[in-house]
Amino acid sequence: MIKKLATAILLMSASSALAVDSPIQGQVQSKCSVWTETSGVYGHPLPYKLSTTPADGGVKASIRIDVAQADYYKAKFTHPNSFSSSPTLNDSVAWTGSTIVGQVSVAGMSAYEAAKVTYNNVTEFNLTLAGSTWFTVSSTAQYGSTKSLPAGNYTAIIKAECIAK
Amino acid sequence: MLLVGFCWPSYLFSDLLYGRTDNVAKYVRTWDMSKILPPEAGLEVQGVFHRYTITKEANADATVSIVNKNLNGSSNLYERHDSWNKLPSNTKIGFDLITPSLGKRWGKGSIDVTGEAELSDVIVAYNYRFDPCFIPLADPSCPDYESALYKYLLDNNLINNEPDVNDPYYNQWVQFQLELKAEQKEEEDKEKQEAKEEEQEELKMEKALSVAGAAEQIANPTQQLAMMQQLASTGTLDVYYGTTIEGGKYEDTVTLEDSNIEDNTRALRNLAQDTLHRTLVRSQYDK
Repeated sequence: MIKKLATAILLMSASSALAVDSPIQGQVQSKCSVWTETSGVYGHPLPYKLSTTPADGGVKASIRIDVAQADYYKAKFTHPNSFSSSPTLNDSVAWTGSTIVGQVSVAGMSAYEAAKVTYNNVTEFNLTLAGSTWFTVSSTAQYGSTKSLPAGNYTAIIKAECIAK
Repeated sequence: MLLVGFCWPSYLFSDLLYGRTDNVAKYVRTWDMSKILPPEAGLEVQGVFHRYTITKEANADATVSIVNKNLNGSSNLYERHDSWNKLPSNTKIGFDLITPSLGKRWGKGSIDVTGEAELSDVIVAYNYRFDPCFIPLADPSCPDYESALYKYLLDNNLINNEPDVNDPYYNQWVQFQLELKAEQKEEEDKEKQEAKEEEQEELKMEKALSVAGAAEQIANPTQQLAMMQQLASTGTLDVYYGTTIEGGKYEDTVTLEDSNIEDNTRALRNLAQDTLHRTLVRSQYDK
């Protein structure tokens, strides 16, 4: 009797598992990371000008990109063309900026500079080698023709991205 | 006793200390590692950091080499060659993690550039680590210090002999002897104290037993009779028995000079308080 009961339970449990969804899990971690090593600072050499150039009293931003897997990513830097916060401005601002390869951890990365692509306020680098690359971003804002900028705090954002190719 | 002292378990442990040399290439392009690395015994080099700026024509060829000779052989213990062929000028930063190897093996170091290029702002620094207790005798707080010292004394036949003052571990030996003496004295004092306490305990017991015997004797009727006889027989009561009082009239010797006797107000007050107290007490029962 006991044997029969056990068999019955076994059959029932077997019949309830005719199909299952068996998950496969995985975790993807980017093999490219972006770090701000030095935040940029605007100097104010003239009443109408803000500049990150050291000669103008500013500090250029230094952004490091670490790549663990060669030739799978490209770096995209967008230097500012507007303030994210500022006093009210009643006139136009003329923006200029650039991104260059600052320092490299592999000599071959030095070639990134010659191969970079620039359009609008965007600069792209093809990260063909594994390692760290330091990019230097500069920015200049000129108000009106030569109108004095209103007093206050000004902030502009550099966008640095690591994009899979 | 000596061996017991050295068998004490040591719960101390030492941690590795890490450090980095200064920039060895600040003024020169070659350097002597024996003058760069700290003198700590057992020191190991575990990484090389470099940073330099190369200035050259983009289409020129150049190679930057950072090398360290192996002091025990002709080969290089560490070498890095950066090829800048057809590459523009730039600043390079790098850190090479290497399998830790004894600093004593590291020979002459250098950074050179071959080809049409120049180096500037050069930084080369070595990361190292060492165990401050690599030689356990270096510090009494090191684990195995006791056993190392014992071994040293044993090896140099100094257990019962005073070493020469110039011996590098003379101070340790003196310290060890002082500690040993202090330890022995402490043990002796402890033994003495214990013996004294034991003796005092015995005396207390004896005294208690003797008192108990006396009480027993006092309670004994035979002993009591003997005591009474002893008191009566030896003239102990003669002083009282032998005194003679002459007969006659004995007049008062106290004379009152004043005719008026003042009341003692303090006594009257006390009596009044006594009465009050008595009334209060009685009131509790006379309800």
